[in-house]
Amino acid sequence: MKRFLSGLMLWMAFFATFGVSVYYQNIGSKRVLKNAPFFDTWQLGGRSGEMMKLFALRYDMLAADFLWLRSIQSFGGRGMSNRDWRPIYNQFQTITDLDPYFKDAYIFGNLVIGDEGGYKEPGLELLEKGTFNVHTQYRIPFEAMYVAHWQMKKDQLARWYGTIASKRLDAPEWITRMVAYIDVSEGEYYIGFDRFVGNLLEGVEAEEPALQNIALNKAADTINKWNAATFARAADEFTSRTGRLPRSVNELADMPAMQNYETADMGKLLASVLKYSDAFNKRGIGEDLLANFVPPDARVFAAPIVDVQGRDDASLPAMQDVVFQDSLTTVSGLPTSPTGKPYMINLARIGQKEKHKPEDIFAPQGQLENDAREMLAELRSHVARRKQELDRNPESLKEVFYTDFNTTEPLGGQWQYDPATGVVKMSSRPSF
Amino acid sequence: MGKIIVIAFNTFKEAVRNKVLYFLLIFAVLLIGFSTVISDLSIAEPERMIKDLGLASIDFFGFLIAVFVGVYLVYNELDRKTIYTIVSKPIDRTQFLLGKFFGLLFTIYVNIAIMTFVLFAVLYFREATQYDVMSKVIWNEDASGKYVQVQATWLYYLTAIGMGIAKSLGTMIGVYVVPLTAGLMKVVLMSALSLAIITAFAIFYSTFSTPTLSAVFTFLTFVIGSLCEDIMRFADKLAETAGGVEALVGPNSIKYWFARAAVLLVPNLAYFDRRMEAIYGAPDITAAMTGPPLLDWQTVVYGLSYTGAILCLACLIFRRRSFK
Repeated sequence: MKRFLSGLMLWMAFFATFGVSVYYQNIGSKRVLKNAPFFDTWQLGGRSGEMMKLFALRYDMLAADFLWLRSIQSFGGRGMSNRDWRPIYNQFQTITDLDPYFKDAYIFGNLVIGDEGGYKEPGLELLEKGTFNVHTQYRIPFEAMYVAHWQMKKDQLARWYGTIASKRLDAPEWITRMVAYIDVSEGEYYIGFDRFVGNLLEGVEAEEPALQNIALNKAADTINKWNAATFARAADEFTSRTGRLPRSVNELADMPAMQNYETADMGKLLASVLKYSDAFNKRGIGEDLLANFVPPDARVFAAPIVDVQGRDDASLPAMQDVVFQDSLTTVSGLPTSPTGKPYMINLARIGQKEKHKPEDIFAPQGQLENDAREMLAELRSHVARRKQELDRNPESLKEVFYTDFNTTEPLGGQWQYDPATGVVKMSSRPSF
Repeated sequence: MGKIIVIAFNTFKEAVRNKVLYFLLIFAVLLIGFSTVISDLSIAEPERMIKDLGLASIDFFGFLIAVFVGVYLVYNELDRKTIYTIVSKPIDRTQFLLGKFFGLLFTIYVNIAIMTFVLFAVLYFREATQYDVMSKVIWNEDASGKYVQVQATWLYYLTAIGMGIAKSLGTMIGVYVVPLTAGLMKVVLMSALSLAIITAFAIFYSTFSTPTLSAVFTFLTFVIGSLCEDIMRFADKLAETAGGVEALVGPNSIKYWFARAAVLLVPNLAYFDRRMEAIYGAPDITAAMTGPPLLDWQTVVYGLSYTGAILCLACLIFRRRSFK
């Protein structure tokens, strides 16, 4: 009985003291939460990589793994909504300090902070750190290129990361094409075109029509953009001289911007590639591909060939510089488009230069006709929808768009609408 | 030599009766086995998690065994007075100590072998039981386009376990080399070499101090040995801030020379750490540096010579020790 009582008293003493301590602990915890911390450490494994590195005692990678798992759980639980990005940024910095080669930590860190959280700069900072730490692989600078180009719209930065990515040991061949695409969008036509010439020569060397097709189309696209930029400069000069917008590209031919300017010529490119593919006994470019563009320039065929057999690096891709130089041309007046079709002005867009890129305003005839077809289809779908609402043909385009519809057609002229049939037509291309 | 082997064998028998050893081993094996569960929580590189956790477990639990078993080896002989029956026989004290060392080292290496075997088996079993690998074997598409089960799942698991064991043994003896486990044996062997140094230190400290102090000293040796690079950089930073070693005065001068001495005298255990190399492959990590601190053969020479030096020191002290 005495033993039972002493035991009971001990248990009671335990619950009483434990109860008091838990009570005060609870009060203290509430006070802690009321005070803003100097640094939000609740989800961190360590304040910094340096500190964690010391505590990890050579088990750095293991510590990085556990922080990595913690970051995944943390992000998976709450995402980045209503969250300060700094703690999770610090966590990824710590992980990558502990294990600088942890490729996925950089990529996932950017995904969490940049893509999901919307904090592009710190996300890109992580990727930049990874670019130099994981120095043999293309993936991290490629991700950085993506962020800089598509998310931050910083093309110069994107080109820089892209160039790094393309030089990595495991870089796939399409990286150079993507970098060239950014070069061109940044107005670096020489560089972009040069890279596509390289892609084309690789395609011819490998006798891969698919690769040739991509490279040819990209080169043609670059030439069009290059020429469109020249047209845009000439159009500005024309407007400042005459006080009105140009109505056709012919009006621009005498502008200073269109005198003795350099551009690339598709005919020269094709001729040069064929000339050197022949010298290396390669099949060259297929007839079906050649049919899409202007004929190869006979003058290039006539020019003396650079001796290829004596070179140590004798191969078709090694001729990139020669083919690139062959493809350049100095023009005064209107340039020739890669397809041979004349350039035209999209008259629906020339008045809104701030809204559209030069290549969307100045384009070869075929491309412009395609744009016009798309616009016409769009108009017709609007009319059809309105017709469904009204249960009759709209009386005018104003009844469709609630405003006077006086937009010019891309190829000039005014849109024609027949209320009796409900059909919209183009005055410049009635057959469309 | 014969006497050393006999003492070593007896030490091994004594060590395997130690319950602490089993607790540590079971815990390590469970941890390595559990790593496959932890790896599933990761959205990338799950094998890396298993390798990291497994290799770190092998290294760290090897260290714990060296400390907890090593520091009691000499002490127990003295405490139980069994040392008198040994030293009264024609056995040199050096032979006794070396026998103890090799016995303990053998115990540690047997444990490392078991842990390594489990790690490899876990990796191979996990590889074989991935859904895409499994489904190709268990299910087959018949003529009508329907999938039919052609093998029982339990039988597949049983086969995977058997194959995992066989492959694991093959990898350990070097006849089965695949990218999944490439380079891991080197990490384990280097860990084993570093544990030889730690074991030598544990024995060395136990020749002149109590087990608790020996454990503390060994642990501190492990800490300093693991942080050698940081201590070295700390000393460099002190000198750089002062504007050169000559400009160091007062406490900073003492700190500098203490750090330099520690780095020089305590083994740099980071030299034996090849985990990063095994996980990422040598080209990825070495190209950024001027080269590894020590080449493989240099590391082996370093490890052996360091172990030898500490053992010599331990023997010298033990020869003069009074057992009264």
